[in-house]
Amino acid sequence: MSDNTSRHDCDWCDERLEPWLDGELAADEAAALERHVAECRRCERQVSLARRIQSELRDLEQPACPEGVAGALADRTRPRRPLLAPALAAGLVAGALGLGVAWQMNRTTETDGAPSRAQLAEARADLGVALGYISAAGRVAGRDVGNVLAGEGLMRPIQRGLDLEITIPALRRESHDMVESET
Amino acid sequence: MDTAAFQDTVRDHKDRLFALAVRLTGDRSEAEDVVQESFIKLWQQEPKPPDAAVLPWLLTVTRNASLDRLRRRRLIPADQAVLEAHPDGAARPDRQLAGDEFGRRLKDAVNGLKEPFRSLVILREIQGLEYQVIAQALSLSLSQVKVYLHRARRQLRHELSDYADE
Repeated sequence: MSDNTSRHDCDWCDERLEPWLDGELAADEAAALERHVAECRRCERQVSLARRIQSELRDLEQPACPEGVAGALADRTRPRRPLLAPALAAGLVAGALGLGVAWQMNRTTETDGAPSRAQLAEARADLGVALGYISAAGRVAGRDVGNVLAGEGLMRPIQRGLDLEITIPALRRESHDMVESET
Repeated sequence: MDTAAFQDTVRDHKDRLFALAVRLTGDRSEAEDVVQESFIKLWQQEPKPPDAAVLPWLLTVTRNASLDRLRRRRLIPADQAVLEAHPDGAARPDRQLAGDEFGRRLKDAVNGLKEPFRSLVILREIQGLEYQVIAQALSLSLSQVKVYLHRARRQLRHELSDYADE
């Protein structure tokens, strides 16, 4: 093979080598390039190099995505249980209990004066039971909604209605103590 | 797109997106974050892209996120570490890179390409994606994809021209 090809021809081939490899050259240009490559050792080497580069790139191993990524995505996009359904039901029950207690207390107060200590204890115990149910329902639903509903949704209205200073831990303790005393 | 369809989409495309992100960021941990972010964006996207456009959409998001992270790190492409497929970054068992100087230099040359040439080489020459998908992902015309790809490969060939004498 000859190296006597002009640089113009080599430069012309160099610009068209990749399109030629991809079959993108017009027929007459492809034929001219092939004739030149057949006679030019330098350009023939460039063709070999271009093919080697393509081959190496194609053979590069593809890094696999760690399985933890798919798992994390599954966790983040898993359908949530209807968060409020069980907790809302519990809240409505507890709210009804609370209102019932408050009505009973007010009725008692109107007819008999201030509620007795036993009546207050009973009211607190009932509320403790209701709030315990809310908390359990919240855990089932996957969120801690007990304190959310027991705060603005339930506790404060009951506190205002009964004019009582009540805390959830205190209610639960009293409920627990009441159960303990009866067993 | 319900949860099951989304999980299918993740399964079908996670490896391709991860490979793109790793090759662009040079960091497997960042690539994991990028892939998660990309799929979460798809999950939250309303309306969803049509089925045929999901992969180009994901590639666009993944590429943009990867390049954003690179910009934040202010990395010059030529300074990036050689990209490896092995989890711990060591030489792959099936390729003795210490003895494969050509492969190492080729990877360096790919890492040194400017955008969009580097993404084009990754998506077409390494991953073998169709021109149309690449064009959509990079917001280029079909002819631009081909012309730019030819330029990128010519640049790689020129950088490795000393191997032409072997």
